[in-house]
Amino acid sequence: MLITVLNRLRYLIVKEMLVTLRDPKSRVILVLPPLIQIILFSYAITQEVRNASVAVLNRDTGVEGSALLKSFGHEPTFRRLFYLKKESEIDSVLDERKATAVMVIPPDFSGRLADSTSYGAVINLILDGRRPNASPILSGYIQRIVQQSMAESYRERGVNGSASPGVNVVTRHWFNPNLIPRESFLPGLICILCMVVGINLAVLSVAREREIGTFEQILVSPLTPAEILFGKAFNVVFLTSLTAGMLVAVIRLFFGVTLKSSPFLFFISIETFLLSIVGIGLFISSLSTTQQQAILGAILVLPPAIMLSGFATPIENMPGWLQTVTAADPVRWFLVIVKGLFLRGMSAAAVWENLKPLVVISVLCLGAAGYMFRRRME
Amino acid sequence: MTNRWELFGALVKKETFQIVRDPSCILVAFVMPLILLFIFGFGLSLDMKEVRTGIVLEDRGPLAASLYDAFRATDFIEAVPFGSRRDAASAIADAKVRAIVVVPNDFSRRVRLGESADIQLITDGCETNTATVLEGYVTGAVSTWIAHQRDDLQFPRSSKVSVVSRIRFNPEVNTRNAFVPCSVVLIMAIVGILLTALVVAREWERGTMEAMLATPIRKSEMAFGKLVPYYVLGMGSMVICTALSRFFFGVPLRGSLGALFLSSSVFLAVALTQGFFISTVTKNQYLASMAALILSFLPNYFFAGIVFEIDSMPRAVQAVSCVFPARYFADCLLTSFMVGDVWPLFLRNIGAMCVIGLFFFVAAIRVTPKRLE
Amino acid sequence: MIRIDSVTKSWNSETGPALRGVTVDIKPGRITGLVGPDGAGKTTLIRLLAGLLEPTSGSVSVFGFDTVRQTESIKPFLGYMPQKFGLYEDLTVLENLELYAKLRGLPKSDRPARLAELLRFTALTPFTGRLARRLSGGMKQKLGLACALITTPKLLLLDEPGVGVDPLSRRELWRMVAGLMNDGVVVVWSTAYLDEAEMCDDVLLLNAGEQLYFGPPSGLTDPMKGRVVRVLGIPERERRKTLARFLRNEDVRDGVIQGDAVRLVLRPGAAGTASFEPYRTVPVPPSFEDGFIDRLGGIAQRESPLARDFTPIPKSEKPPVTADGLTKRFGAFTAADHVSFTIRQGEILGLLGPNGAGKSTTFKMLCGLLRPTEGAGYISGWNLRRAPSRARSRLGYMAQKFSLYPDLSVRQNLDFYAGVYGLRGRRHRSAVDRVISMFELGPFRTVSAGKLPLGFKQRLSLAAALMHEPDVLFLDEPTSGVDPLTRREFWGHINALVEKGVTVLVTTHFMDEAEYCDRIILINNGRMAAEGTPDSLKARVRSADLPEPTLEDAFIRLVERGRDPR
Repeated sequence: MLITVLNRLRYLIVKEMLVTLRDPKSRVILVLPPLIQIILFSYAITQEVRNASVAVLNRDTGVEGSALLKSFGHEPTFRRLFYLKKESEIDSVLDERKATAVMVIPPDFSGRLADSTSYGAVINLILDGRRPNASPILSGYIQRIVQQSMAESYRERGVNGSASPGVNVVTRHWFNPNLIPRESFLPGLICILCMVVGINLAVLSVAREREIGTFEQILVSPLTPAEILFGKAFNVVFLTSLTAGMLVAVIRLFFGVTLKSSPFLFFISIETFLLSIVGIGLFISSLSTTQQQAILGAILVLPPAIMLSGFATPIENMPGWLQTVTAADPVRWFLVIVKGLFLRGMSAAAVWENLKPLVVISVLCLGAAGYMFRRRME
Repeated sequence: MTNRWELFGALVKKETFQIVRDPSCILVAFVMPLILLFIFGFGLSLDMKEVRTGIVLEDRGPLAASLYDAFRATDFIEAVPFGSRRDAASAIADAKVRAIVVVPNDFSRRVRLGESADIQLITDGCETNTATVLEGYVTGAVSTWIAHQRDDLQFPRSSKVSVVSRIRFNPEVNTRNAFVPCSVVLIMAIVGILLTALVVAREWERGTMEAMLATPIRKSEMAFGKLVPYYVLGMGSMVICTALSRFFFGVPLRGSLGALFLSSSVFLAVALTQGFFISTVTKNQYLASMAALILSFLPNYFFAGIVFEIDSMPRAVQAVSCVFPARYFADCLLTSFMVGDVWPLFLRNIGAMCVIGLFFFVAAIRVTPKRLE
Repeated sequence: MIRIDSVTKSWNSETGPALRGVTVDIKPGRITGLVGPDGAGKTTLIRLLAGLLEPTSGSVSVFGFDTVRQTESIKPFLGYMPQKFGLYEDLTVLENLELYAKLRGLPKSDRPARLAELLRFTALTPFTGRLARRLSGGMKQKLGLACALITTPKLLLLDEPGVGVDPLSRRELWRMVAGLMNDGVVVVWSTAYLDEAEMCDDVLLLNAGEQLYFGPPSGLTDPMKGRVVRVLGIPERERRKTLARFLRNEDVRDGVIQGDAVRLVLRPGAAGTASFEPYRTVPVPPSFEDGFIDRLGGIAQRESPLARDFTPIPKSEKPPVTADGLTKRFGAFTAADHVSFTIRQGEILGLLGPNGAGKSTTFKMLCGLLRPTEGAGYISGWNLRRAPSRARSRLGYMAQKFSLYPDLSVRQNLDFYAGVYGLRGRRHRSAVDRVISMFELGPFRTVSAGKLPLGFKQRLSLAAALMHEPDVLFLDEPTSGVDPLTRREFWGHINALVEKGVTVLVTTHFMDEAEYCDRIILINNGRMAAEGTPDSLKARVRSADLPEPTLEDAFIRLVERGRDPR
């Protein structure tokens, strides 16, 4: 009995793979878009601000202002520093996005610095609110350069400025000491691209067979709905794993990002993740009668799944109720695992914590898909 | 002679009837934007709050305890106490906390002696943005704590120069004001491409294209006849998005509706033309929708210039980003919402979008065959 | 008027040219029928005439305009109805007509009158507001014709308008087109139905891109005079065996079962009818189909290899198929109402009935695609509900349209189905090898199934359904849209299988398929309306004004009786 079932499954799985791989379209979809996208987007993942346009209005009559600005000239970030003449120019420069930030040095800047009784000098920085990523980063840069440059100039002049004792916050960034965004985004990008491939293959697998009429043909064979579902799930998980393998190799070769934890843990996690993706895909597929409906279903699911995963912006920033919703998003859980395994060296116990929801999602979706198959026969 | 306008009108009418009767069009144009904007609007945010931060107090003195209380009092940190550095380190590796603050055991002593004392902040570098922002927050929290300490501790005054930042157009620093319009850009890119990606492909599949080719209509008439009704439909989604942004998410709309209408019209026209081009090339609904999905969502997300900085990308990638109109529309839309009417900026971006649109339109007409081969 | 001058059209070197050296002059005021087996190049020729394709060599000119260089000049007087009718499914009847009226530049003032005329002509006036999607096949076909006729074309091209349309609608369409002939229109009508071709003024017979005959249909039919006979008096259970025996005779070029008789086409100069003893033969007038098949070389496969190589199914006490009170309700609607019957081993049972009468619901319940609300179906004694896998492993299924994996090779398709039906190891390999050699699929072993010629697709579907040597074969309209030669071959295989003890259940609209059945069950309004042999059904409707009813007549009368309970 068991041998008969296994034999049927063997031929079913071989068939599923051949169907996917002999179709040039699916072959291309499996390899080309993920490959192009990972390379293109890897280079596009840049959150640091380079070549920023910053405008300066120096109204300082003394030397301190221009001395400060000289130190900006050495920084590659501020290659596009330019000067304004009048205060009235500030508005248009910002409005038209000619500059992301405008730095204003007040007329009494040198004077206040020279006066030891004064409370200190102030530099005004005006940032563009349309750049939610660039503005705070730029502000941080400018702050740092100002402090460094002032400290240096004090030291040169022998004035006791920075060496004074106090409480300092000493920061170290673990796992990615220079905070290179590419390193932290790449593993997540792998999981998103795999999801796109996996969900596409899965939603089409049943819908296509319905359209070409082979679905009825296999339903009248001794195969049970559960076996058909298993065959399809196995096929998509297997093929998408190959895509994942390719992507892992690419980020290693091109960008030197490698796995920090055991490959076995990664293997188990990605298979579970893909199974949950396939579960969702097959469920959509079981609901739709045409390929077009299936694809629309996939399109409706993909962007929210990516947005709610924490890939773009952290989940902590979302309102509480939406954080609850993200629990249903398999990418959310897997993202924690891939980042953990690639960058942090996450422990097996923590991986398992994040795998549990994926198992639940897989079981629920595959169960629902199986139920829908059966219902269709009523 | 045939009246070309009447012929064109007939094509538009046909397409309109098809739209009205095809539920998938309504789904794409009205239901999808609603759902996506709702999710994106709440989901995309860089306003950090309650970041789980581990605190290791090696110093058991009252000074360290008061620092701990200071951390607990802030909104942006959810302080999680740890007994030892090692526990905290494994928690950060397992993504249970995003950062650790370590107050070393000689902290109180050094402060009392007037020596320089260090507080260690270890962040999870995998979350680059969180790490950067957190660094600022923690430093700020420590400064605030210092300011509240009794004078007998004799903290020296920090640097004599202070930088005062103001975020223009968004003084209350609500990143949602920027992210909601940005989501609208993404949604309109998906909707625009998807709407037309399926239409020509459908005509090939159902055999109506064959009948069309045997009638005296011209290729450009056919193209316009398809684009116009979908443009109207797409503007419908734009209205929904704008209304939702303004009244539900409370994003200010400082520019004029006319300017908003103009830039969204041009953007939508470009997106529709791109979809039309995809459809003409693939002639197959399956491939067309696949290509639409791959070309609309992720590239426009990466190349809109909101979350990622186009200026910092390699030149080749910057060149690729020019093909995706989202970056130009994002500029216009954010300005319309947050700033007002800035015509030099509008015209610059609208011009760029026109170039892209024209390119794809000509390309689509070129690849439309006169015959079945 | 229309000159096709040594036209050759090739797609790529692999498949060979779709048309080679066709030279024909088509005259106005005549209907020219385009006939030939599947893949003969009919659609290619029509598209060349419409200027939708360019010939690889040679030229096509329509009323003096070259179809390549002067495409735009031809379009205004061209009426073209593609295979799928070219209708917008989401538009109503009237909207489709108005669209084409505007696209073809029909002056506004003429429009109301012309549309009304066309609607009356096609009898679509009551349905102007209905979406094209909701029209029946026959109505779609008429609407397609009306759209092609909007500006009264000088050249009307119809590409297989009758596919998937019932016989009555086809006849109506013919009458409409014939009515146009007074205006001097040139009509080119591509068709798979030979009774239609017979009515054309001229026919162009194509085979594999080559022009076999051009001229009036009588030119093909006349030489057949005296070569067609009906063999009478064969006992009901002997018909298949007898036909198979006749077909082995070199003198016979074609043969089909017609009720209690067998109709044969003989070789020219055949040695008389003595070899058909002890049965009586009567000469009958030839039909166009006889001429067609004769010109194409007669029946290709005289003996199904299945008759030799298929392992006989052992005699069994259990009935192969039992329907026990099968009932299916969808909400308040009862699609099938207590349908019960048993099929004997080695019997062909036909399920007939109008669309939506419950025929396919019953069929689906019996092959396990649909779960009955009440009652049960049994295959070789296994309950389809309690032991679905067991029961299904005893049946072979062939769907209406080709439904194997088009991207898999012949061999891969067969490997899959053999495996799924539980064959493994050496049995698996030998079963696959055996059907490949039986159905002569060897040369196509590595070809993708979707690229096979239609006849071979049909063979492959049957092969896939037979590898596990099922007790029962389910056929769902197996030969719809298939040319006569392929259809003959297919039924040759089925007849051979039945002789080996296989039981067959077939659903069909095609009366010549129904003639092959031993017993017919007519389903109407979800119930069994009539049951009997084809001849007994005919006998039921025999009357003074219908002394010689065909099976089609019987079908129509019996269905009507059910509708009108008197």
